[in-house]
Parts: sequence; structure tokens; C-alpha cells
Amino acid sequence: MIELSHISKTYVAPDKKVIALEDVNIRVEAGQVYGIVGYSGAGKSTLVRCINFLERPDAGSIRIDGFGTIEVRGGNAFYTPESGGQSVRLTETHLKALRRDLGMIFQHFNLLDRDTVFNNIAYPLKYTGRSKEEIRSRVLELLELVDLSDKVNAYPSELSGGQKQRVAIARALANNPKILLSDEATSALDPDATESILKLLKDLNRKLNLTIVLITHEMAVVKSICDRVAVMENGHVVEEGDVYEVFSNPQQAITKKFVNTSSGMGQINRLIRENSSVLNSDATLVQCTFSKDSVGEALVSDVSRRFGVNVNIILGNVELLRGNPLGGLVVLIDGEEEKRRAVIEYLRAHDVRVEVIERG
Amino acid sequence: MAEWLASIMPNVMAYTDKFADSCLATAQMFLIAGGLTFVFGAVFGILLTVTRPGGIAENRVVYRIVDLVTNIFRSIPFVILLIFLIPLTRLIVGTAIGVKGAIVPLVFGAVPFFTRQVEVALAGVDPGKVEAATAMGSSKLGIIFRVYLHEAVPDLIRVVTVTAISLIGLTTMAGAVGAGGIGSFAINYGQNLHHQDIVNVCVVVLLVFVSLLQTIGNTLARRTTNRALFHKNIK
Repeated sequence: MIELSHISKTYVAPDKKVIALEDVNIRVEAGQVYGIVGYSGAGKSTLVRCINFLERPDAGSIRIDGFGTIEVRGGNAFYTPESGGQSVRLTETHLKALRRDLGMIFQHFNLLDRDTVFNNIAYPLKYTGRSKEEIRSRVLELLELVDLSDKVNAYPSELSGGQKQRVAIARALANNPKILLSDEATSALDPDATESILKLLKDLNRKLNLTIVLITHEMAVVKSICDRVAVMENGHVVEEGDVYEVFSNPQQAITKKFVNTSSGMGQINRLIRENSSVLNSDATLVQCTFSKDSVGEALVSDVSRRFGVNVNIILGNVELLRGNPLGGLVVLIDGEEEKRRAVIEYLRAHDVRVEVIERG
Repeated sequence: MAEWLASIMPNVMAYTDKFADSCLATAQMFLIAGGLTFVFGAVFGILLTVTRPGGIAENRVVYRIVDLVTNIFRSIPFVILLIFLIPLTRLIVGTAIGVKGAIVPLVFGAVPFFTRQVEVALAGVDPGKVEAATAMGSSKLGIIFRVYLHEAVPDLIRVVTVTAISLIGLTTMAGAVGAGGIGSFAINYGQNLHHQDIVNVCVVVLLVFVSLLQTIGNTLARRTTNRALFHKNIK
């Protein structure tokens, strides 16, 4: 388990102060895949780097199962072992121990270009008291895990982006960490490679019970592998929860925006902006989000029959999220004012989230 | 053969012993001063890289001092540096003339240049690689040797080549103030005695040596780009 409490971080430049994180609290359970989304500059990169102390927070504490607690107060960092006991000044030695328990992968892979795949993966294993034979067998084992055994003698310049990220993942897992931090690991990859890397991460999560904290700006990534998600904006976590809950019922404006971009429902904004002819009527435009309980019912034909209104479907989308169906429809409801209102009431009573979209 | 050589460069053949001594003196200056420059320049270049703001061992005081001293010595023209350092040279090696006396000013002249070159070469290493190594729990010394120096090898070879070539230039200038070597041979026996063939031969010798250095440097730099120089296959 990882618990970040009251993490704050401000960058001080000569002419200005930039608040990167302000009183951020996050809890990641063991074995979870935890996504942190936000636009660039939201503070997500800084937050994930606070976990392995690549960034030193100004205040707050970080508790990690199997390691202990680091607390920053008054500009000084203190370390308390998990077993309790005396809290001491944080040293380089503590940080090395912490970092060997945490693997990390990056957007641009950060492999050593002058080393072969073998030597890249062996990097964290060397100078740790292991014999050459131990290192060799561990590296080959890791290569098998990421399905790259045939590339053991290749150089990074001979690999594709997806293969480079696989090497980076193998390297990050070399010391058997329980936690993997992923900083936009698929953002520089093509869609096929993205899919295969996400699948690999999910497999590793299941097989090794690996806890994964990943940051991304792509909601599709969250949707495909995360269990929980935190949405960040301007250094704050503005929304947090189970992925299905967040997708089926987003609360904050920014979350809605993210959810819409990933489902194709964001298209409606384009239609409105371009004043599309399909919207040419004074009927009420509504966005309906169905959840696991309501998606199976034939609500559209039901309401048109029951209330005598015309329901014109503009956009529709159904997908599976964590094995549960999640559907969205944008429809025009045409009929008398009263009936329209009754339709909306009726849909809401049937577990459909209904939002009237303003055109203008 | 000897006759033919005597016909195209009679004066060189008349002073073969002097010429051989001069080449030897230049080689000595080049190797000793070059070796010292390599060590000191590398150390200061690394020091600048790791102690600069945002570096892996940030230290404002060390950075400012090394940076300032490097700038000061870089801005003094070498001929001035030669005479300026005479008292210090006497103090260190006991004499200010000959090969021994030339080593000190050569090192002072070349180290600041090489320091900057090393700094630039190391700055070319992607900070992401350093961050990845830090995230893996690598020590500072580990990052210097296994990331910075290791990844910058092709660039370091290039800057060593450039520095070596400019050091040859410096040795000939040192010759002008009594250090011996090819430079003083060209001036004293060529220019002053009106033996143009001596000057010409000195130019050819230097040209061949510089071209050789450049070729070796280019080849090694190319062979180490994106791969190790000595590649060993696993299995």
C-alpha cells in the first residue's frame, strides 16, 4: 500500500512561484492499478516522483508498505521504519533502499543507448553483490517475462518503441519491486504498441500482484487497465474513485471532459459548435448515461411509446469497463414541454443519468 | 634514398639529429601535458556537470569556483600565459625552460579548454537517463561512470581529438619561448637560417600527425555511437 498525505510542492523561480501540488492525499492499495490523469502541468508528474523521492515535497508524508514512512516537515525529511521506532534524518541509504523497492518506467524509455538490452536490464543488478551467473539468469528470466528473449544482444537503436518500453519494464522489475511507477509510459507509442504494453502491465499486475501507479493524459489508458483513478487539476486531486463510478458518473467539469473525449460522446460538442443540421429543431437535447443496471432495458422505445414523444438518437456508444457495460446516448426529445419533462423524470427514475445539453 | 632526400631537403638532412630531438621533445610535451590535461580536465568537467544547479550533487560554491577559474584561464592568450606562469613553473618543476618547463603552462592552457569541452559532452547526455538511474537506486558515483561517462563516450572521443589537436598547436608556441620541439626547430633552424625546406618539413610532419589524430578520433567516435566499442554476445 502507498499512502501520500498532505503532499505540497512549490517551485520557486526568481520571478515567480509555481504551486505544483497542494495538500494532495492519495491511497493506493496493494495489487491495484491506480491511474492519475490530468492535463500537462496539473502536477501528476511531480506527484508520482514524490513517491520515489525524485522530487522532494515541501511538506507531507509518504508511507509505503514494506519500507516505512518518510515525512517532510520544516524543510527536513525524516524516515521512520515500518516496525516503528526512532524517526531519523532521511539519508541517501534510505532513498537507495526505497528506490530498489520501486520500479519506474518513462515516456521516453530512458535506456542507455550504448548498452545492449542485456546490459540495460543488468544495470540495477550489478554492484549489488550478485554473481555474474545470477545476473545472467535473472536478466534472461526478465526477458522471457516481457517476451523479448530474442533481443538480448540488440542495442536500443535497433528496437521499436514498444520493444524499448518492454526492456524498460524488465529493467524496472529487476530487483523484484512490489510497486511500479509509470510516467506516461505509452504516450510516445503507436496504438498497437500502446495496447500491447497496457496488456503486459495488466498481466504483470495479475501475475506478480504488482501495484501500478500510472500517470497519463489519455482516459483510454485508464479505461483499459486501471481499477481506480484520480483526476488532477492545478496541483489538486479534484476527483477520485473507482474507475466505473468515475466514468458512469463524473462529477467535476474536467472529469466530464476527460470521460467524453475517451467515449466519443465529446463529438456532440463539435456538432453544436459547427451548428450541424442534425440538431436543427427546438427539441430538447439530452445526454443519457446508462449504467450496469439500466443499460439492458429498451428505454428509448419505451419512453416514446409511453409518453408519445419522438426520441431522435444523435450519438450512441456502449462499451465494457471492468466487465460492466457502460452506455451513453445523446438524443433529441421532441414533444410537448410537459411530456419532455416527464420523460426526463422517468429516465432518471430508471437509473439513467440525464443531462440537458444547452445549445449556444 | 638518402641522396634523394638530401636533394629535396638538404638542410633537414644536415640537421637530422636536431630534427629527431625536436620531434621527440614535441612528443614528450604532447604526451605528458596531454595525459595531465586529460585527467584534470575530465575531473573538472565532471565536477561542473554534477555540481551545477539541478545536477546530481548540486553545490553552488564548488560550481562557482571551478566555473570562474576555468573562465579566467581560458581568457588569457597562451603566449601571455607562458610568461605569466614562469614563476609558478619554477616553483613546481624547478625550471622554466625545456620540455619540463613547458609542461606547466601547457597544462594550464589546455585544461580549461578541455574542461569546457567535457562539460558540453556530458551535457549532451539525456537527463532522462540520469533520472532513470537515480530511480533505480544508483549511487552518484555509479551515475557518473555508468551513465554520464559511458553514454558520452563518442562525444568525449570527439572532444579529446579537438583538444589533442589544439594541444599540438600549443606545444609549438611553447617552443617559441625556449621549450624546444618542432616549433622552435622551425623557427631557429628554418626561419632564422633561411632554410625554407626545414619549415616545409615541419609543416608536413605536423599535418600528418594532426590528420592521423583526426582520423583515429572520427573512427572511434563512429564505432562507439549507439553501441559499445567491444561488443560481447550473451549465450
